[in-house]
Amino acid sequence: MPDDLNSRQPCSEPRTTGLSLQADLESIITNTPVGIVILDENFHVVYNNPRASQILLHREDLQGISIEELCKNNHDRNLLSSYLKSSLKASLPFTFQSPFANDIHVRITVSRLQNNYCLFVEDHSEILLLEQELQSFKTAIHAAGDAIFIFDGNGLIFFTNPAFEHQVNLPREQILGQKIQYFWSENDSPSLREDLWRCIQNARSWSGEMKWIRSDHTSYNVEMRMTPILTEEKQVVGFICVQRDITERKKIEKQLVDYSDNLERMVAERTEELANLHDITQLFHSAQTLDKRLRLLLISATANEVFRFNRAFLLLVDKSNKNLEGRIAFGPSTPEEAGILWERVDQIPRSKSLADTLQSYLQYAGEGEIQANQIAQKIGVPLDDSSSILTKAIHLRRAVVIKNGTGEVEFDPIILKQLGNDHFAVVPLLVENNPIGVLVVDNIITRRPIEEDDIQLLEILAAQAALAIAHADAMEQLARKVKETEAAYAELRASQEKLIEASKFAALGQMAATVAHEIRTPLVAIGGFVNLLIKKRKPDDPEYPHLKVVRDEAFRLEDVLNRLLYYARPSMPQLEVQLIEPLIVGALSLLETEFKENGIEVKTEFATQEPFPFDRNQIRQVIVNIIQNSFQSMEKGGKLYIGTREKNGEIIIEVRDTGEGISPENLPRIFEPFFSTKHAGTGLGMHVSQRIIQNHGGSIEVKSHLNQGAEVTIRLPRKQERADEKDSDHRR
Amino acid sequence: MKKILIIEDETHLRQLYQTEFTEEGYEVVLAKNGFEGISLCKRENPDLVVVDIRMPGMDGLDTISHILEHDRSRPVIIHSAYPHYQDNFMSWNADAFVVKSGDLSILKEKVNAFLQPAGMG
Repeated sequence: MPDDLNSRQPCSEPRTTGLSLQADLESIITNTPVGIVILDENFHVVYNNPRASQILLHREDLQGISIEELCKNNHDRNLLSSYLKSSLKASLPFTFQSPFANDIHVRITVSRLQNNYCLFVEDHSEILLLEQELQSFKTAIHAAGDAIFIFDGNGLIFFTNPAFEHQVNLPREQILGQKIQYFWSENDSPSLREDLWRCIQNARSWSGEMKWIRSDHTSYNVEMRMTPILTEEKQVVGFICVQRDITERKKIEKQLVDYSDNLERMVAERTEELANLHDITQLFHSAQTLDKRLRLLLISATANEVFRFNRAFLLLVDKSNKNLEGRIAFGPSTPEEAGILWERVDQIPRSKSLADTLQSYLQYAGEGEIQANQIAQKIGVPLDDSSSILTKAIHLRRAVVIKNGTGEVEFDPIILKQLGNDHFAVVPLLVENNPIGVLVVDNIITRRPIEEDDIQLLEILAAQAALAIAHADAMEQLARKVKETEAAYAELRASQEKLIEASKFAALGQMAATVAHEIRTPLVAIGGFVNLLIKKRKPDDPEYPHLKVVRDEAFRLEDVLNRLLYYARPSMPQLEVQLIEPLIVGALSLLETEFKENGIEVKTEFATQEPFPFDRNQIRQVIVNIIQNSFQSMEKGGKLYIGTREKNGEIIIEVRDTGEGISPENLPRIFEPFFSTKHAGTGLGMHVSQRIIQNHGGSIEVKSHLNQGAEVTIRLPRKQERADEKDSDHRR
Repeated sequence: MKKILIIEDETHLRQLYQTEFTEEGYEVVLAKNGFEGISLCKRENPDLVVVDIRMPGMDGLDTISHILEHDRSRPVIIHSAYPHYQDNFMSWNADAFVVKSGDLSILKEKVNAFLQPAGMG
């Protein structure tokens, strides 16, 4: 700052004359970097040097202008005038204006002259800019969120910003003058600190992470950037540090690592669980029967190695009545049951493969009579009952967890009573949106809460199980259908065979009729003519018995024919009221000789002997047939009894013999056509006899024991319902 | 003496019937077939006719209807080897049905029943 001109001392050695001094002074005034303006009492410019014009950005000559003209406003004018008049020694920052610029920032100093003012004007704009820049930096540093501090080469802090104060929790006064080592944590690595110190000593930058201590001795993590401040001559002024508290970040980083580790662990667990699930699914599909698959599902749900729920209930959809019905359940419902069941399970040998272990569970750990099974049997609900949580799960198509008796939807609380538990999960079994059934699981013993994770996996298993179950069910239905079809086919074949048989019989019948006719005519001739011959002989004639034999055999053949023809085409009885006893006597006489020869004793007992309507030919056939049978059963002799009586409107004919009898196996079959126990014989006799008797409205019964003979009872009604009942005196 | 007409196509059987019924005390007229039977019936006017059903030429049933045309009251007995015809004989306007048999007692009985109502059977 130049001295007041007036107070300046003259040079000690007047080297130049007064004139040259004047010239020098003028040169000084002209060339000085400071602007000089001389103002009169009215503040008008009397003189200005070129520099003044330059600074004030004015035309060369300011003479005559009032300095007040250069002021921006009234306020400034007042300020300027009071400053000039005050003769203060201090300089004043001021802003002028000019035609070329609005703001000319200067610094003015005034010196009082005798009558005038001397105004020294210095260009303040650069400095102002610098000052502004400095202020900006100061503000930035002050307001920065990061901690900024400056320390010298010995580590002494001489500058700090509020962020740093906040970070270390100390006021400025206590920070300034502290060494940075004061804030370093001992838990940090020594090599780190050594490295940092080396940088300080070598005036190098450093950046890294450190542990610092707050005022309360708690440590925190920082990320620090240190830069040396150098002069142009590479002298260290200090070190500026920008520091950030990264404790939070570090915490988050650790959390992230932990989280990632956790995630990896969970993935590993999941992978293992999925592998297990895969094994179980394989097991499902290898199980042959529906029942096995159902039990596998329940075993998986309750096994320790898999889901380890305490209980699992399975309800299946009955397609016929569209009901969801409890089918089967596993797991203990009471501590006592748990003790028994789980002890049994513990004794089962474990295997490395999950599949094998489950298989052995299936074999050894039968469910037995457990409460859960009884509970399951009692649970049932129609599919269209929308109030039940079971059907709700099906409609939602996903698992539902019930906690404390409530869930995400409202439902009929009866299930809570049925299960005896208010915490359980319901997993629907669906195949392409068709409900197969429902799986209910709970932890009634251990009370372990059911988690979302468990349920998710269970849903996956359930999906597979549903498929396997539906498949097995379909297979079993198919097998049933195949069996039914086979049975139907077999029946059809049997019917076909019967039909063939029947048609064979029909053909046979036809043939029989034709053959019979062919045979009968000659037979009639034979019998008839021999009969004639017999009538011309006397009984004591030697030829008489022979002729009789021929005739009787011929008649017998006629009977066989009749029987055959009757079987082929039965005819209604021609009823005529007559006595049956002569018929019986006649039939007996046919075999008179044979009876004698074989030692068969014949006894007859005719009680009432009242005529009644019957077909003589047909009944004769029957009587002859029965007598013949008795005769054939008594080859070595015996007794034959025939009796007739009437009782309750029925004529009862009894034939008893003491022959070999009929075995229990054969007895039920004697009326079967073509059934015969003898080599000879058509086997039609009893069958035709039965039909004839039945066509008379009567009944025939046979009682017999092996080696105890046989008893045949024929019942014939006294009155017939037929309108065309005839008697022997009929006239047209 | 009562006269009976027997229409039967089998020769042997005709012989048999002739002998048997002559012994019974009847006059026997024999015919081989339906035609013969009808004309003989007209000519001889028997008191009873015995007809075989299955005969060559005219069927026994036709024969019966022709015979009856002339005299509805004349008894006609169907004599057949086929037992099943007995179910329907009445619908053919016959009075009785007898199955052919070497034992002629039933046929004799029937004939006697029609021609000797009060007598032996």
